[in-house]
Amino acid sequence: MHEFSITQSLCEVAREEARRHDACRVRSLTCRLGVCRQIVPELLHTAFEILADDELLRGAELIVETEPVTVDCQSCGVSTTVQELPFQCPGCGSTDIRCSGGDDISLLSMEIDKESDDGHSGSSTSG
Amino acid sequence: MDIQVLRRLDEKNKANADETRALLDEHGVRSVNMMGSPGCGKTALLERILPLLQPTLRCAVLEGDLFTTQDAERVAALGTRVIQLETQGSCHLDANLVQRGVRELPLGECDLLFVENVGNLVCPANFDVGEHARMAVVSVTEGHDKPSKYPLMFSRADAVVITKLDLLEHTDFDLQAALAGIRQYNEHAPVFQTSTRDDNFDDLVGWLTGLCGQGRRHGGA
Repeated sequence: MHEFSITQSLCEVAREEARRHDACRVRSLTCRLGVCRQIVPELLHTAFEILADDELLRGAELIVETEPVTVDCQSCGVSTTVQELPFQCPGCGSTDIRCSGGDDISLLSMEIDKESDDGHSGSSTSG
Repeated sequence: MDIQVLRRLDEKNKANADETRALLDEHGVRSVNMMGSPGCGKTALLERILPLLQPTLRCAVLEGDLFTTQDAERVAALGTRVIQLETQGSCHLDANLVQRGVRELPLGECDLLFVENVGNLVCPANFDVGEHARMAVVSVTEGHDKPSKYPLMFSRADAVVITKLDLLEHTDFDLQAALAGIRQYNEHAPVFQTSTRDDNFDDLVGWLTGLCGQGRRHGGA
């Protein structure tokens, strides 16, 4: 249940960034979470629905990208990336592997409506 | 419009943890974050190693617990200074809660601080609490597959302690498979094989003492 704590941080960071950019509404947030973090996306979405309870974040879409782990196989020598536990070499099936990465926990980007966008929520401009 | 953010979600916790580490450094205190499943033997391990450490090091314990004070009472019975961190049901300690505990300690009278985390192999690994070293504890009765199932816990450990080794012959625990599972994520952490029914704590005690040697700012050996 560390998803709740992580979502609290996510909402805090998102609100800070939204205010910094004079946003009146956040349409979507894109996060990158490493597979090693063992964060359950369903629980993250549930926590977000509960915690994103203000005008800025309410109704925003939460998009979660998974950062894979890099697996270096000690048996066949092939390096590849894996998205799911338990980790093993996708090529030869060996568990004699060395794993790295997969521990990211970042808010990458947001799609916002700015207060200067005439207050219309129907269109969002890029750039 | 789209805006780039690129901010880590653990930045606030990390800032708190860095502040705690700096405070401990100022007083020459080294801290160890002990993490493992409920019942893996974290408190039992403390009960065995504290009497071996205390002749040369002044130890203290921050005892993370969901609700009860049972573990804190066991540690206090050894004459060790202990502060209870009650998480009120939360599954992990965070840097803020640990910092509150650290501020209650007389740091000038302390060399080595153990933070016994809440029993859990997933959540605690996600939170830096201001430790200098992370110790993952895993017991024979949990099964040899645990290291390979909990990558963050074992990839970030500075030491791994396998406990309840006296039960090896009564279980299907495959020690070599467990060691291989640890090495999948962590090539360098020393692995200490222990049992509270045997006196095999010398290497672990040596490692902990060495940790304090590195961090000492005020005298001492």
